[in-house]
Amino acid sequence: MVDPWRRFHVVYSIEEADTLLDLLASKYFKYIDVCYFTCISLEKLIRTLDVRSASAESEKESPASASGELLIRNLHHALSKIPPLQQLGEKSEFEMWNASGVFAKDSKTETKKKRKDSKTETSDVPSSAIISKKMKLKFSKAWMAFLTLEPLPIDVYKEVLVTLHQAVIPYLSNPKLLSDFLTKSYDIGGVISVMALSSLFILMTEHGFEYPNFYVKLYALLQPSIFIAKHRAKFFQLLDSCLKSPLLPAYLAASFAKKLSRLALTVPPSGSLVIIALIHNLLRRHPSINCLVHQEEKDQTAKNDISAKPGIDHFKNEESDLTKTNALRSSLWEIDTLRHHYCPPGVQVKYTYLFATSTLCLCKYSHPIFM
Amino acid sequence: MCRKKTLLKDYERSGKSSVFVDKRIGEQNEDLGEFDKAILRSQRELRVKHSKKSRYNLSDGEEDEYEDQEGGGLYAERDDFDDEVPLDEEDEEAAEAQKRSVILKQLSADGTPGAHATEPSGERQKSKKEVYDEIISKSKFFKAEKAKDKEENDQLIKKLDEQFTSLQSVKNVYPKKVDPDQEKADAYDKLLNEMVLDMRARPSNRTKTPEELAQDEKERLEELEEERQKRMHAADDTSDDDDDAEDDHVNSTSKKLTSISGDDLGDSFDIEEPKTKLAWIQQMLRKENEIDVDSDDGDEDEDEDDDDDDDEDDEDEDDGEGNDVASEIPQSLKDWEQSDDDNDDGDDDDEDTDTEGVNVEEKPRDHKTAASTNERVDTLDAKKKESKAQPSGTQQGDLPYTIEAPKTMDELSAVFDNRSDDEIIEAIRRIRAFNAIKIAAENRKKIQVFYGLLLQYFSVSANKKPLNFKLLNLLVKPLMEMSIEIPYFAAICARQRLLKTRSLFAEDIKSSEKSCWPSVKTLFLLRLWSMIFPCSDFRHVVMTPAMLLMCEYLTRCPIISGRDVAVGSFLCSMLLSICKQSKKFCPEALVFLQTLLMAALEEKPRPSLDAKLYHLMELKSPKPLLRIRGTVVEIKPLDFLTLMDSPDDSPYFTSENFRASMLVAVVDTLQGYVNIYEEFKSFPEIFLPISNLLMELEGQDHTPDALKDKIKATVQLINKKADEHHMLRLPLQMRKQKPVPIKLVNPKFEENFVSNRDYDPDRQRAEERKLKKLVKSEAKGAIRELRKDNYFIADAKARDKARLEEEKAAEYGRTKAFLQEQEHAFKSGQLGKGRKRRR
Repeated sequence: MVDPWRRFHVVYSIEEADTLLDLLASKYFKYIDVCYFTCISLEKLIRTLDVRSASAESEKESPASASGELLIRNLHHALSKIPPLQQLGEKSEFEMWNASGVFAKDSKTETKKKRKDSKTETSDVPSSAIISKKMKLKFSKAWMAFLTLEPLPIDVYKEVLVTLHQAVIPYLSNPKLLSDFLTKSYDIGGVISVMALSSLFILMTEHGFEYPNFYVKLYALLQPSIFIAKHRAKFFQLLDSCLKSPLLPAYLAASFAKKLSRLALTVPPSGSLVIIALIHNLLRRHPSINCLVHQEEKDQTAKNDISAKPGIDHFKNEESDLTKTNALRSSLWEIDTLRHHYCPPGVQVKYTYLFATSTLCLCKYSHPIFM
Repeated sequence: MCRKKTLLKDYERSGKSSVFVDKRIGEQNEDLGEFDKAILRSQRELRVKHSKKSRYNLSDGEEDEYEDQEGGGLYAERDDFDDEVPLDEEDEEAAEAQKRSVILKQLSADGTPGAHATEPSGERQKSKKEVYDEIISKSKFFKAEKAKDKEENDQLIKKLDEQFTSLQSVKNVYPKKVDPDQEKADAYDKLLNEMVLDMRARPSNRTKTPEELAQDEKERLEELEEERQKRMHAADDTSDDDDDAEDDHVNSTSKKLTSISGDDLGDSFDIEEPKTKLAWIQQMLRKENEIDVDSDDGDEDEDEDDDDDDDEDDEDEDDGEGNDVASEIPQSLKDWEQSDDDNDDGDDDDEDTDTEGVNVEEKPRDHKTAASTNERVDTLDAKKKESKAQPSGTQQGDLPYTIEAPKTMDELSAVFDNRSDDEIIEAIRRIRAFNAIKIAAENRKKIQVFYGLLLQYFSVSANKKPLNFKLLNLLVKPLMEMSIEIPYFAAICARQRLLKTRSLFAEDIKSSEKSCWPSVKTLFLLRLWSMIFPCSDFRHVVMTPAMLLMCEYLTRCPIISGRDVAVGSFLCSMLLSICKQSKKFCPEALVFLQTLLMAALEEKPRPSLDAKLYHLMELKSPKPLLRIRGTVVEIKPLDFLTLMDSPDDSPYFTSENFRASMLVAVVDTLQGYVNIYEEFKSFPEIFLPISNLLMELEGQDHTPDALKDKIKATVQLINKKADEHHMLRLPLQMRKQKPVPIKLVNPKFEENFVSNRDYDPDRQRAEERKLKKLVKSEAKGAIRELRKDNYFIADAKARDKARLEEEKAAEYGRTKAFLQEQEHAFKSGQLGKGRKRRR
C-alpha cells in the first residue's frame, strides 16, 4: 500500500508535481489497481482537506488559501489524468500492477464488510464486470468529493466544466449526483452558465434530470457577450437543440426568436448569421409563431383598437419572465433590417433561408467570417 | 378529261427533241368554232391593211404588203445600203451613226411619229412590220437632214476661208507672230504650275485613339529627354571634347542607365561610369541568383564598400543635406521592414527582407551594407552631389523626361528620394506616360509592378512620422487612375494587404499590452481603397473584407486611451461614408458610438439596459474617458492628423476640450447614421436606446451648450423618425402569392351552335387554324391529283406498250404468214396460191 502515500505527497508538493504526475499517468495508470487506489486515496485526501480548510477558515485564512489553491490544482490534474474506465474496459483482462491480488483481497474484505451473503466471489481474480463497477464507484466518489470543494479557482472551474460532459459523466455510476454542482454553476450566469449548459443538457436528455427554470435561465443567457465568447459554437448548437422540442409553448419560442432578432442589431456579422439560422429553425419547428413574420390584415374592429400605433413594438426586451415579454404581439422587423447588412452573406441568408423548407445545421454558421 | 390535253401531251413530247408550235390564230382556243376562227383571221388581215399608211411607204399593193410580212428584213437592209452609199467620209459616217442611234433611242422612247403611236394593239406580226417602217422613215429623215447639214457646212467653210485670208493680212502686220502666243502659254503654265503646287484638300486629322495619344506622349517625352541629354553633353564636351567616340559610347550607356536610375547619371558621366556599370552588373547578377542574394551581395559589395566608406564618412560630416540622406537610410529601411510585413508582391521585396536579415545579423556593418545594397544608387547620388559641391535643398538636378518604370523599391526610391512633392507626382506621370499600357503589351506587367511599389510607397509615407499629408493627397490621384487601368491587379494588391493586416491584427489582439487599433498607415490605406473601389456594390472583393476588418477593429479593440477613441470614431465616420450610398446596415459602428456615449456619462448604478452593453464590451474597459468634468469654453473641430501624431499619453487627450470636441464629432456621426437608416423597419429598436443615452448626456451639468443643442437636435430627429415608424410600419407579411386557380372543366355551352364554325375566342388562333386546315386540304388535293397523274401516265404507258406489242405481234404474224406461205409454196412445189397470185 504505497500508493496512497505517494499520492498524498505528490498532491502536497509544489514544484515537481507536474512531471511526477505525467510519469504516473504514462507509466502506472494503465494498471487498474493503481487507478483504483488513486481514486480512493484522492477521495480521502479531499475529505481531509475539506475538514482542514473548514478549520483553517475559522482560524486563519491567508496561508491556507494560497496552498489550498495549489492543492486543488494538483488534485484536478491528478483526477483528470486518471484514464476513464472505457479505455481500460476494452481489454478483457485488467492489468494489475500488483499481481498479488490486492484487488481480490480487497474485494473479499469489502464483500465481507458490506454483503456477507455473497459467497460467489471465491476465486482470486474477480470478474472484470465487478472490477469496473467498483472502479466506477470509486471514480465517481473521487469526483464528487472534488467538486464539493468549496472555492475552486476560476480557471480550474472552467476547465472542469469543459471536460465534464465528455470525460466524466459517461463514467460516473450515477450522473445525477452531478446535478447539484451543475445547477449551481448554471445559476452563476455568464460564461460559466454557458459552459455548464452542455453537461446539464446531457443530464436532462439522457438521465431524465428535471430542471424547472431551465428556459428562463437559458433566455437570460442571451446577451451580446455570448456572440464573442469562446464556446459560442457549442452554445448555439445546444441552444438549437434545446429549442427543438415541438412541445414548447408558442410564447416561449416567440420570446426566444424576438430576443435573438434584437440581438442581431448589435452583434458582428457572424453572430447575425447564427441568429438568422436559429430563428429560421424556430419558425420551422413552431408553426405557431409564424405570426412573427406574417400577420394577416386585421379586420376592421381590431384595426380600430390598435390604430393608434400599429408599428409599435410590444416586445419587452428587458423582461426576464418569458410569459410577459409580449413577443407574440410583435413582428421580426429586425430581420428585415438585416437585409441591408453590409456583409453580403448575412443579407443573402435572410430570404433564401428563412423560408426554406428544411431546418438548418447550425455548425455551418458559427464560424467567424473574414473574406 | 383535261389530262389528255396537258399531261398526255407532255408525256408524248417527252421523248422528242423538237416541238411543233401551232401559232395560228384561235387554234389554241377551245371554245371557238371554225367559223369564229375564220372571222378572227380576216379581222386581223383588215387591220393590218388599215394601219399601213406611212408617208415613206414604198410598197403600195396588197400583195406587196403581204410580201412585206415575210421579207421585211430584206427591204430594210436594202434601204440601209442605199442610205450609206452617199456618205463617203468615214469619220463623218461614224459620227452620223452615233447621232442616229441617239436619236433613234430618243424616238423610240418618246414614241414619236412612226407606226408606234398608231399601233392599236400590240399584235406581233404587225409590230414587226411597223418597226421596219419606222426604220425606213427614220433613215429617210436622216438623209434629208444630213444633206442639209452638209450644205450648211460647205457654206461655212467657204465663209471661213474668205475671212482667213483677211486675217492673214492682219497678222502680217506684227513682226513676230509666235511671241505673244508663247507668253500666253507661259502665263498659263505658270497658273498650271501654281495649281499643281497648290495644296489639295486633305482629310483633316482624325481624332487619335487613346493608344496613339499615349504613343505621342511617349515620343514627346523621349524627344525632350534627348534634348536634355544633348544640352548636358554640350556642357560636358567643352571639358573633354577630345574623344567623341567615347562620348558616343557614353551616350549609349547613359540611355541604358536611365532605365536603372532616373536622373543621377546626367551630371558627371566619366567619373561615375565604371561604378554605375558595376552596379548594373551586380543588379543583373542579383536577378540571376535571387535565392542566396544576401551572401552574394555581401561579398560583392565588399570591394565597393572600400570605395564607399570614406565617401560616406565625408558625407556624414559634410553638410546637412548629406546628413539627411544618411539618417534617412535606416529609417526608410525600417519602413520597408514594416511594409514588408504588410504586403509583398514579389521576389524583389523578399530580396529586401533577405538583405535586411543580414543587416540585423551584422550590426556593426549594418550601415555600410545597407547603404551599399539597398541604397547604392542613392549613395552614388549623394557622392556625386558632393563632388560637384552643389548647394541644393531638396532639389536635385532636373527630372528626366523618360523614366523606365521602377521594378524594385530601390529604383523607386532612387527616383523619388529628395524630390519635392510636385516633382514626384510629375515623375509618376512621366513614368505612366512612358510605359503606358496602351503602347505595348509588356508594359502592363511593368505598370503592375510599379503600381505595387507605388502603393507601398504610399503606405510607407503614410507611416513616416512627420506626416506629409499633401504628398499623400497628391498620390491618391495617380493611384486611382492606375487602379482603373489595372483593376484586377489593384484588387489583388488590396486583398493581399487586407489579409496581411487582418492576420497581424489577429496576432496583436492576443498580446494585450500592444495597442491593436489600426495604424495611421492602415487607416490611410482603407480610406484610399474606399475611394478607389465602389462602396455601394452588394458584394465587392475588396470593400466587403475592408468593411469587415474595420468593424472588427471596432468590436474587438479595447478602448484604453483618448487616442483609441479618436481612431475609433474616425473609423465610424469612414464606415458612414462607405455605407452612405447603399444604406448598408453596420451595427458595429453604432454599438461603438453607443459605447463612447456611455463613456461620457457620469457613473451611476446602471439599469440592466446598460449592463447588456457592458457585456458586449467585456473586452473593452469602459472607463469614463469622455466624461466632461470641468467647463469647456469653446469647442474646436478636431484635426485628425494632429491627433494621430500626438502620442498615447499626451495631455491633450485628457483635456476637457478634447472630450467636448470628440463628443461633438460622435454626435455628428450619429446623426449621419440616423439619416441613413431612417428607412429601416427596426429604426426605433436601433436608435431609441441611443437617444435615451443622449438625453441623459444632455442632462449632465458640465455639458457645454453647443453640444447640448446638437444633442437635442439629434434626439428630436430620432424621436420624430421613431414616431413615424411607430405610426406607419406594419407587421411583417409574407410576400403574397396569388392562389393558383384550379382548372375549370365544366363544358361551355354555345347557343345557336353552328357545326363548322370556329368558336375560338382568340381570333388569331382561329385564323391560324383555318389556314392550317386549308393547307392540309390543299395538300390532300395535291396528293390526290398527283396520284391520278401517276395512274394516268401509267395508263398511257401501258397503252403505248400494248400498242407496240400489238404491232409487233401483227408484224410477227404477217411475217410468219408470209414465211409459212412460202414454205407451203415450196413444199407444194410452187403450186397453190403463189401461182395463183402470180397468175
